[in-house]
Amino acid sequence: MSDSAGNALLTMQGIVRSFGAVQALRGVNFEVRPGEIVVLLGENGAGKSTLLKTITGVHQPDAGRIEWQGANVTLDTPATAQRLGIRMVYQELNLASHLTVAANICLGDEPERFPGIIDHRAVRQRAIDLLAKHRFDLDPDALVGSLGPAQRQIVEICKALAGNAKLLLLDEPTSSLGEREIEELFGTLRDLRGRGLGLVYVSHRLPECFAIGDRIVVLRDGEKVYESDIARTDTATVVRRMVGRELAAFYPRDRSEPGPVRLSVEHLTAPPTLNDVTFSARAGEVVGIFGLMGSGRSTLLSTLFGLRSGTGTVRTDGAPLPLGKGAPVAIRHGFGFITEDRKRTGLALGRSVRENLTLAALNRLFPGPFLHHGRDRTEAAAMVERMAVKTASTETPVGTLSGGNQQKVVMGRWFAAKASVLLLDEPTRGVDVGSKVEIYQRINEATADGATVLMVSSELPELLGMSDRLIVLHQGRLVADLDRAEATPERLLHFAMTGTDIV
Amino acid sequence: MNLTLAKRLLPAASLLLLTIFFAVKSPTFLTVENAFTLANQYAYLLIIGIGATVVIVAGGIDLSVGSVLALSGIAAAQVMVQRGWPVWAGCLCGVGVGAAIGLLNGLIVTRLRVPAFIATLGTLLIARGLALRIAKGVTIDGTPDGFNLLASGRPFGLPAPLITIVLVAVLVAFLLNQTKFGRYVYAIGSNPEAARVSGIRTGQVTLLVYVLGGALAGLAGLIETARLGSGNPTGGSGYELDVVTAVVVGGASLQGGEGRVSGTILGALLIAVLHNGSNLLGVDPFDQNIYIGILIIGAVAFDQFLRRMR
Repeated sequence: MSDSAGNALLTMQGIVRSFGAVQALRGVNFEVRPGEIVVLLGENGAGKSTLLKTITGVHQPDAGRIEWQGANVTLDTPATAQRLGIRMVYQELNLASHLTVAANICLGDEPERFPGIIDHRAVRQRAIDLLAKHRFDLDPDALVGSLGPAQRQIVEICKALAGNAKLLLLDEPTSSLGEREIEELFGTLRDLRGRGLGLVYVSHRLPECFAIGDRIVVLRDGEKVYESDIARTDTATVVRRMVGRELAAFYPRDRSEPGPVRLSVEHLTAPPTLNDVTFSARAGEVVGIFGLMGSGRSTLLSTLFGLRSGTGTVRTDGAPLPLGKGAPVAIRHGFGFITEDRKRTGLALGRSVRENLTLAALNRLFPGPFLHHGRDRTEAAAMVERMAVKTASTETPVGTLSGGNQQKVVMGRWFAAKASVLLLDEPTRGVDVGSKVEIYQRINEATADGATVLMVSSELPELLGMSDRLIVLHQGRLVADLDRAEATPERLLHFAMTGTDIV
Repeated sequence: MNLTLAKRLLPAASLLLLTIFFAVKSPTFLTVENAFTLANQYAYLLIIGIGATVVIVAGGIDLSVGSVLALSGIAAAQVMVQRGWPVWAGCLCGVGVGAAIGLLNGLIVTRLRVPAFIATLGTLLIARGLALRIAKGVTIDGTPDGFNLLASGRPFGLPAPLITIVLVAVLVAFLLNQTKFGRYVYAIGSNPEAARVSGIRTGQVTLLVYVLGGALAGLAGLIETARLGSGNPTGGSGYELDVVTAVVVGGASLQGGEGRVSGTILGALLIAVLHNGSNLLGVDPFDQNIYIGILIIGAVAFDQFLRRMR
């Protein structure tokens, strides 16, 4: 493989990049040849996006050498990388949906009639030429908003191909595509490969990677841990290399004897993301939920919490929960929801720690319409202490706290509301290590008090470390319901990626 | 120095300085009679402003208040003068009409999901049109003397509008600070999604907020009608902007989640004193607009400055 380095498009050697104390890349060697599709794999935080951003000139390496077509280069800005022909295909979010396909393709680099005056005819012509050259079947005058996801992805690729693209980087290009659309996209990618472009393909979906890639590179903790021609490897090997590490004693799960069934979910369906999901959870139990993005894991939580409608039967302590009736009904049934994005859906950032802590508990604390400030303050102070929130006072605006302490406030809100079924969506995202451990301890305390915890996390070590049981979702279906002892990272990843057990 | 405190003290300090300035310059400024005039003339600004504080804290805006003031006044005058309804029924009708337009605003915002700015811009026009239609384009004169006492009455030697203002201020401040409803209003204004996920029925609360704002605009309409002794279908034009000015100068954020009744009272008084004092000194009314313009920009610029300091 390495003897062909002479004609490589891009060669990176010993790339190191740190952010503060965190080493995101620790001496990575990476190479792309013309007419080749390289699949880049790794868990969240393995260093994939840092590597991509180094290639596109967004980040500069602290150490290491980059060669482009055999010559040393410094990719100091995204503009430099673009000039060389390095293009990134963004997800469809970067398109202006009110503009036409042609206008989007030329966006930012419009041909001008006079300075500042767009030459609309030339815009259209450039788009027509480009679409014809790559044999894309797209109407240049169609509004992007009227296109399907696969077609939008093609517009993105066209945008990247305008100019003299030689290396195309694709980050999760299929995350919003259906199976047929993926085939369509793959046809396009193979076509581009045939023309001598180099492609880097990042995805979490293993079967796809094997279908489209020529070579596979696995990153873990900022290092390249595995590299192989696709033909000479298999999913089990790749997954093993991705996971790689032992579970540390970092996860202080205290297992308690589970009590009676607290939550039972039967045939829960919420089209299009959730399909006939059945499981149950006992009092004192932590049930981990694993799945890739779009597998339905977040939908499952928001449906249980009444924020989306669905069909099926959900019972808490035997009492049926009407579905889709809003959060207040779910809260009366004992649910509490710690959402994935605490800034967007969790906290009233400008308001005090106290107000945020007691927000969901007001109905419990004050049966009438009136507040009692003394009681409110006592409750908040007690919760600050119990959750070990580091704050100057209960009156501090919650937006001024660190991420970990903000997360403790969101969690404390449901402890204050005496929720008996806690739904946690990525409870430690963007949280420092110290706060993580504290959050795990609070989870232990909650289950020791008899609460049931459903936890979604994309961090496998955390999920395996904290869960008593694990369920795996794949394309909206529950494909595995495992006891902690039966679960291994390899097995979970395999279930999540393929929907089937490892062989 | 505590920055939130600085922010709260600024309007109070400005008001004090301005009062001293006018008191020194004009012998008639700091008299009981002038204070009573002020209360009468600017009752609308205070009462509507207090209602608008709740709307703005909830993250909304109500541009219809000036038209609602006119429509409520016309409705009350019409039923009392032309249909002979008793005074209490006329009053109920005026406040009820205000509340009804508020309900309409709330329904358009929460059910039809029209942004509050647009929804209340629409009802601004609708309410104005209705007022003109009912009054056939002219004033409805001759409201009963008993009704006019709402403006001219002097219970306990105090002007009736002043008493109304105090009652409204105490009631709304209590609502915002001492009830679950008030807590929810702040939460919704700060982050509606987080409020919803915390189990707050955000739609219902928002609806009530607009009803309250509309009812208080209706009440202001009654006082304005009583003051003039007639219902005026073109009254209250442009009041919505005076009100927003008072609320914002008083420290509320148009982004929602922030604002207090006491702040709005200070903001409204600042504007009232600026107008009233300038009139006494014979300052050109055109120039007064310039001062008010500088005031609102200055107040918000100062607030932004404090935020950067944080």
